[in-house]
Amino acid sequence: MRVVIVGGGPAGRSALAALPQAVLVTRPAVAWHAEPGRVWVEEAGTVRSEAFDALILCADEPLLLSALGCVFEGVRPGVDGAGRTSVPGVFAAGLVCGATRGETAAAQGRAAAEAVGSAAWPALDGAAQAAPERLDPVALASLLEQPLGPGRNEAVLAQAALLGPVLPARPVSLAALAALTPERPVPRPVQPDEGAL
Amino acid sequence: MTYDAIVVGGGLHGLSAALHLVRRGASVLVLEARRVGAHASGFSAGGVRTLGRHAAEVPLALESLEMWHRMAALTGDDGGFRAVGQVKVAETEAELDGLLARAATMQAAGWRHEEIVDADELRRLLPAVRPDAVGGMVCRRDGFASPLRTTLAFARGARAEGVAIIEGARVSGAERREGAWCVSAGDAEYRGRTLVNAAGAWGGRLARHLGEEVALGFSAFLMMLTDRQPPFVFPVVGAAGRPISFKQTDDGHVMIGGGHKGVASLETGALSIDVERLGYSARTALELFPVLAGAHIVHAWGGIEGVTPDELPIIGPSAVQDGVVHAFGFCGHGFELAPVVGDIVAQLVLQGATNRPITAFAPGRFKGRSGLEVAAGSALAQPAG
Repeated sequence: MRVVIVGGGPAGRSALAALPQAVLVTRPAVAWHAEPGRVWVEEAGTVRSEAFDALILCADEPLLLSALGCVFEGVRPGVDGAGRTSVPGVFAAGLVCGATRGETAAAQGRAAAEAVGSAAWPALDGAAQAAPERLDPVALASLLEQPLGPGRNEAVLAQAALLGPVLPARPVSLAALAALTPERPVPRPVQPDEGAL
Repeated sequence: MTYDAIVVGGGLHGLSAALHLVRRGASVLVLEARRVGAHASGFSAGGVRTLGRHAAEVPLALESLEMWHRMAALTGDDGGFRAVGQVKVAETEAELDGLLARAATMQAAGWRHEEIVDADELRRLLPAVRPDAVGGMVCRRDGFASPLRTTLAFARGARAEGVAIIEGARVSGAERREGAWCVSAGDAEYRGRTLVNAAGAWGGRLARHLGEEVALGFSAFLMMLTDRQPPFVFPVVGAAGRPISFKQTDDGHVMIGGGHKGVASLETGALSIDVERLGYSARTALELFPVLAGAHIVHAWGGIEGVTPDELPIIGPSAVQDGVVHAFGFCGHGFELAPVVGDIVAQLVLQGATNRPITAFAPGRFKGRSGLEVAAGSALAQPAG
């Protein structure tokens, strides 16, 4: 099982100590986007993806969890006592869960690491507060440009409650992204639809 | 109450139809499954483009462009329309030859809106374009607008004139009874003399429900925005040889789109982006405009669009049902057409005919063929949006 830990604070280090084979993504590397089974990372002018079977998100990056479809309770991800989010294989611990004391964060990171591989998964409900008004993409871009922090995250998560995940979690260098795809991809075919009302 | 028309779909085309219908004296109900402008109408690149259109679309696009230049009078808001022009860049002599051939074909048909420019004029229009670009094609009266703002302006205008718009009303059935369409949405049923199918990517499902199989698939066209950059480009830019649509907004963000696709679900409306394909769009943008080397992508998204095999929309009366008019499947380039298509729909509903040329868009044109493969057409490579 390939485990990726995002965040090098007390929670991340504690999780890594329990799972020394895990991949740790920490500064200067930046996890800027997540999709099922992959975290996208920018580091030293390049973009790469880290595949995961289990992800332990410890950095204060709730938009990465939002991108993966995790439910939120307000601005924090819904988790059980072991940091399991609503998405199987995805854990949250430490800062992203609001743990401000290093000791608490470390305990959360350790608990999540110990739960990796468990078959049980909780049924979690959550409800982020939806924004009263939808922003258009340009206004959303302006919002995403604001400095990271609870206010910015709350506003973005409120838009996500209306629109679905707002991407990406962090800005990514256009030049680094451009270097990812040197050849023109084969056009994706039109998706068929045989559905009914 | 029996409405003159029930419009299914609260996107730009449905709302334009509703506004034109009510202005012609009809009573109109719009049923929208989610929110006004929830899908492509609120997420497109907002290109107001006559450049490079399929020949069948050119007359409509030109008439619609005139309506864009009077948009504030039509809806009460100009939708953020900026007539900054659209430019298609030729990066090679072969691409420029293709544009010259296209211009000759258009001029032979009597259309003079597409103008060839040489390298010097291209650089005057686009000072930051790659230095070895050899020329291009320009439509100087084209431009761009804000898709969501425009859609909401049509909704406000329609409401102000008496159109009823119900959001969260997902249509689950429609049947003809006693000369009217009875449309079910949730626990309610609504009656209308005519049913307008403006359900976008979901339009094929409504047509199927009505007994009319229309070749319609869907695509999730991807777009992204950079952080704010100093002003360096004013027209909307495309490329003759590769899919890209590129423009800078008033506040400096650069919008990059043009045709690369993610994956979407019509069941949930969810959409996933494709990072590798975004990477190629980023590469194209960077190669065309090296000035972007220090930019960052701050937002990426997609919009779900209905797509037909010939990349032309479905506009016209149903081939199998009385009292049904279709206007959907705009293949990623319906934004500019919305003002005129709304009026065409109003004509079809209230007069049973239109004076505009719409034969090429007939719903029944795919009868007997299968599959969604795209046929070669007479358009230049058209950027979505």
